[in-house]
Amino acid sequence: MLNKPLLMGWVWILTASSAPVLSSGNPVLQGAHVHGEAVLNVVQEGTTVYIEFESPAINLVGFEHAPINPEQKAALSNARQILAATDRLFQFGATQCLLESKEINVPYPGQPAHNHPHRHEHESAQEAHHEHADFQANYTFQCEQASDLRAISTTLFSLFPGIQTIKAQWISQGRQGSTSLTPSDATLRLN
Amino acid sequence: MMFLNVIWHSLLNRKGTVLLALISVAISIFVLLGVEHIRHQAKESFNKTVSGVDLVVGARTGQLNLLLYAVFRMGNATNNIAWESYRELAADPKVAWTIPISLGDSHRGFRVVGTTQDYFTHFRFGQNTPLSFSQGQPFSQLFDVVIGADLAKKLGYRLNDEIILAHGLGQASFSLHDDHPFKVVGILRPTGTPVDQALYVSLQGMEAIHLNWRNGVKIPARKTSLDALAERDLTPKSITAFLVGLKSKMTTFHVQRQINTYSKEPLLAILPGIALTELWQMMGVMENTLRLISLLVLFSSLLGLSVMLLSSLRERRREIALFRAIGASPFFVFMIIQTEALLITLTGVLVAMLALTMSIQFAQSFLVENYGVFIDSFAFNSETLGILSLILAGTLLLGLIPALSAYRMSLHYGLATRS
Repeated sequence: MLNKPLLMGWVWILTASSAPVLSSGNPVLQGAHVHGEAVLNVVQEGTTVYIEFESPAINLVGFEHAPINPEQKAALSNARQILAATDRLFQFGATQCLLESKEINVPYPGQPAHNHPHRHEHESAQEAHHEHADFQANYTFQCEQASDLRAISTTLFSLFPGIQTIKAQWISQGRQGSTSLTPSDATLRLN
Repeated sequence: MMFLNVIWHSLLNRKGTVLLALISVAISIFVLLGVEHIRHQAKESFNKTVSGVDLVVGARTGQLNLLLYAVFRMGNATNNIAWESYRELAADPKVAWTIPISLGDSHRGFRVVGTTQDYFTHFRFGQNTPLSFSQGQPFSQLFDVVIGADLAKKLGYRLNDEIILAHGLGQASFSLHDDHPFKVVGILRPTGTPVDQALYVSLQGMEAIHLNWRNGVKIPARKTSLDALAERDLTPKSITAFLVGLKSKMTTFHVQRQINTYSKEPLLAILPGIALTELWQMMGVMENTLRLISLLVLFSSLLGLSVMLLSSLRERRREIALFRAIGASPFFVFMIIQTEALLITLTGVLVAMLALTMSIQFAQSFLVENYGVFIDSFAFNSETLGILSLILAGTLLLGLIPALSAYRMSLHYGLATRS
């Protein structure tokens, strides 16, 4: 054991060189707020499938401040309606899934501009005064043959063109994994 | 049959060059298959190290850093977690079990893990396999130690042997905890994971040997007797990390967020499987480099094979002309060269696979002991099949060069010697 493992050496070289990239790339852990990027967490256990979605407001409605005109108010409620229409949002392949419950949190529920549900630190001094806001939604589905569930595809990209990538993390059959979804590959494979 | 017979004798006639070409092809295939196999197995080895753990919690750091030091015992922690924080988070009703881990000491280069008996009941590896003892049982007394299988094998420890732990992680540490030797009470069965390479003591035991230490140095002439120790409160002040099992996986992301936003202390909770996927994504660059290199080695050796065949054509001019004279078609000549190339490569594949199986057999225990990586013996799978068909396709393609040349030659030259 005098010489520390070779493999370890590789790992360290790689971690050292890419650690900064990595830490900024994980939205959930760091509570990061990256425009164009959304987060999807999926858990399957038994017949239950739980899906969590979180995205900066700018991806969904195009602005990140309290609504200042009727159009922006309409945009917020429109986004809420899209997020509520689960049968359009997610497809479970051959598996039949029924929505059991859902919870959608839209930013700026009341009118006061400084009542944001989520605030995030931002490193950029330029944006230090700029408030961030997130949409957050979670859904619980009951699926027949949930163990056969192999993939979940989403129409989030076409419904919200502001989303460029979705960082997806999943837990299924006792396994964990993560992947990046893009408009050209919007299917989360659970394997 | 005649066809193969002709080729066989023709090859035998040039056995020197053929053998060299064969060796070069075999080595390149060995490298290619070996790289693929080890890549695959190393991944497998990592993946099976942690099973059934929903979250790994430590001080705030990079998620890979946390995974590596808490689970794989590579590198060091940046910071510790306060015992109170651990107790509070472990008491959460969503949490089914926790395994605290306290690192920092070593014994002859092997790491010492301070933990609780929960380690032996809840820790899983591979396909949800629990730890089991080949001898003895979990620690129960203050100065009991359980050792991993490699340690027992390499250092030859048996039950009831006494072990002195060293402060810090140096191979030859001078600050020994020699005032309190530990007694081996259990030896774990081999797991093929880093579990085999560590010593396990109770958190209280770990605390006790550090009682008379200040700033990493032992204070002389202050040896605490066992009776005095029994009266002391040996609850640790901090631990390095802890592993969490949840009652329901549904709450994984909730609990993760709860820990990451814990207000009393900056903590980081990671999903080990996701951190591993991230590790593979990063290692992908290195893997692809290795792959590319091994493919280039293969390409160059196949090219060498075709060069060898091409240059042999010159001396085989009369042989080819003779084939033609006895009525063989130019296509027959073409096929002879291609078959020769294929035959050499196929033999190369067999030699390479044999060599790989043997060298893995030979290197297995060395790799486990020194690198903690368990490499399974070489087995044929769909991936190997893909590589082999790639090799054969490459052979046929590069074999075209000498084969077409022979084809043309057979059209132009007759038996009569020119020049």
